[in-house]
Amino acid sequence: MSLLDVVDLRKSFDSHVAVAGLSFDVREGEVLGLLGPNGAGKTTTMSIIAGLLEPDGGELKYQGQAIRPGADALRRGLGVVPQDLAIYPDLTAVENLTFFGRLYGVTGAKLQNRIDWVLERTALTQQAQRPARTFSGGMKRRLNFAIGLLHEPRLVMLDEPTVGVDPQSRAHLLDCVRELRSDGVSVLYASHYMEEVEAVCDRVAIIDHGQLVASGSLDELLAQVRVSIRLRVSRAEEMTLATLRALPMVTDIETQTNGSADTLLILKTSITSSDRARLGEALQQVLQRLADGQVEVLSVTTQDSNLEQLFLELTGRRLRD
Amino acid sequence: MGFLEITRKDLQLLARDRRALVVLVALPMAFIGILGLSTGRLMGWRDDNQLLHLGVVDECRTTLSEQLEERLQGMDGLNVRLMASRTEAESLLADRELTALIVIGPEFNNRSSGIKPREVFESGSSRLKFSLSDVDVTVTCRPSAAMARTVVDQLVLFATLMTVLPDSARKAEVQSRVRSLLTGEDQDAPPSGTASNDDAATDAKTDSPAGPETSSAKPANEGSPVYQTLVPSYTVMFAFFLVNVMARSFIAERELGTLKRLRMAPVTSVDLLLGKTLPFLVISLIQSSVLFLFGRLLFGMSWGEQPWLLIPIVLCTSLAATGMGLLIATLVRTDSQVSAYANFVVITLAGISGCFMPREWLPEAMQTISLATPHAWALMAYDEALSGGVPGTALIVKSCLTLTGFAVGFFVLGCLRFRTAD
Repeated sequence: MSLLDVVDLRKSFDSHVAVAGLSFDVREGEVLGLLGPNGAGKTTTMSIIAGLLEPDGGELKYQGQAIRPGADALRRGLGVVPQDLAIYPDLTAVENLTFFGRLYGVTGAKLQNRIDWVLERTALTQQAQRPARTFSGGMKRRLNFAIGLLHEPRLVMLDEPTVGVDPQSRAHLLDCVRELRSDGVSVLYASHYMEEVEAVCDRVAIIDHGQLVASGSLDELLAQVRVSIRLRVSRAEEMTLATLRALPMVTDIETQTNGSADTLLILKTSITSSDRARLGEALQQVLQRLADGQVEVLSVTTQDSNLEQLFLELTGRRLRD
Repeated sequence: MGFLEITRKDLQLLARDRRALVVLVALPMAFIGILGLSTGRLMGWRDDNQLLHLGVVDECRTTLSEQLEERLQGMDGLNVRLMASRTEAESLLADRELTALIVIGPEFNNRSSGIKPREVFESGSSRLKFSLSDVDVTVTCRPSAAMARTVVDQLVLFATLMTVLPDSARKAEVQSRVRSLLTGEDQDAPPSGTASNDDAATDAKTDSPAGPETSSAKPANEGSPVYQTLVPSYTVMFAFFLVNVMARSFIAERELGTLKRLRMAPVTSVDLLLGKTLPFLVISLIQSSVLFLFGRLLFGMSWGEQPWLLIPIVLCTSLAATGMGLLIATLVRTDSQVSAYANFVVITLAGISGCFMPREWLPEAMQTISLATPHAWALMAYDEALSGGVPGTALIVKSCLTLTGFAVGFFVLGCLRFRTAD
């Protein structure tokens, strides 16, 4: 069941279109990855959901009901962890948490319990009484994260939560996201780090230029990636390449010599990674053509499919461009 | 009640920034102290440098001429030296040890004996037709003391008239008419009580044209004139100086990213802005209270006949100041803008309204223009509350209502700006 539906969301800043009819949904208890390069519209989308920006058009539905962006019910159900740190450096971790907890109406013993819980989850219990300005970058990130969880939100929005974070803190934050999922909390995880999205997300929505370009479970998306066959050969004459291009499943061939005697051929195919049978058949045909041309094959590999490849295929550019 | 949480948090942060708190109170105190010492004489203090040094040569040597000498010696603001010879006096004048030289000529007594009050003024008007030369009195000033010349001429003329006129009752009439000529007061106003007293003619201080303004005897509720002006003026100016601190607090909140977090929380814009404003209202009230307290304890200022009237004025001034602070905080985006715009606005408004000098010193047009500033209303209210007599509550109520109007206006504009810009 959908907790949040984003329907045909649109937002422009003067002539720049930031979000152009974006639609996706976040289901109960899942981690949805919002994957896209910088400037794709992830932060704008989250800002609209959080009530920071007025959309030009489109609709939000929370628990199946249409809701105005920034409506009180939505705000109370949302835990937002902004991309940039948003903590008071002169307050201690506990004071930061107490302030934001009270702002969300959490008070008394419940507030104390929640503070203890988030401090433990983010491994900040030992630093609870220290001013945040004395924290390392990673600890500040974790406090930033803890504040977003304090009021028991049903949906946590994480906007690039690991930018500038050391590997240890990154691993810790990703563990926290998994724990949230196991607690039944929905998470909208925006990132341009493919590895993180692959590591924690159940489903992924890939966006570019403010539009959804693909969505689905990780397996579903990866199954769409077209396989490339990489062959290291003794020589690559034009006649040989022409015979390979003539194969129906080959869409393009790239050659790399790197100054050595042998040549690397990258055969881009129309075969998706899910179609293993066709891939085997295609490989046999390629090897046969090379043998016919008396070209010695030194090595054969197929490239692992990943979201980076998929994004490249779908948009023609890399995630980190 | 989210605004209370924001207020509590901001007070917590402000309490930790003790240096800023000290500056907010110590800076105005230092200003008041330094300006009191340096400009005090402009507002009523007198020291030796401020006196007019007159040399008097009596070439008549009669009882009447001696009475004139005594009268001049008794006048406030004059240091009169009786000189034996004109040559000696001219030498001192040339050496700049005297501001002016007054010579009572040998014909003074003879020419003065027949003077009648009706001969002093042109018939049917207050215009003087009497001059010092009529009674053989001459005034010579240093060429570089042109401004002093006017004052000396008037004082000597007044002293001479009061000496040569025969009847004390008529003197009172003349005194009143001369004062109206010299000060521009309504000549129909009754003469002062001191002047109507027969014996008062011998009291040169009360007879002087400056009259009660220069009298050294102060009413019981009248404090040091310098600090009666400086303390409220700088209290008002520094109340509005909080605009800077407020604007910087907003900028800090933006730079820390916490403003976004606050806006994502379930609190309304009004709650948020109220929460950000209240701590500075508290600071402003504390600042103003401390300044008035120290004004009384350190500088001997008076809180007026009805000190409780200061409470609504302080409150309404602080409301207007924090309202303006909120509006400016929503307008500026960077520290540079705070330095440029906020300081410009604060200093300009303080200058226009009369925080830097008594409002009555401002040109009339400027006094009218200044009514567009909250500062001016605050200063008028303070002036009324702190004046020697019983304060007029009508002006104070009107000023407080106007200040509250400013506060509400600024707050509403700030809210509108915050909603559209942030």
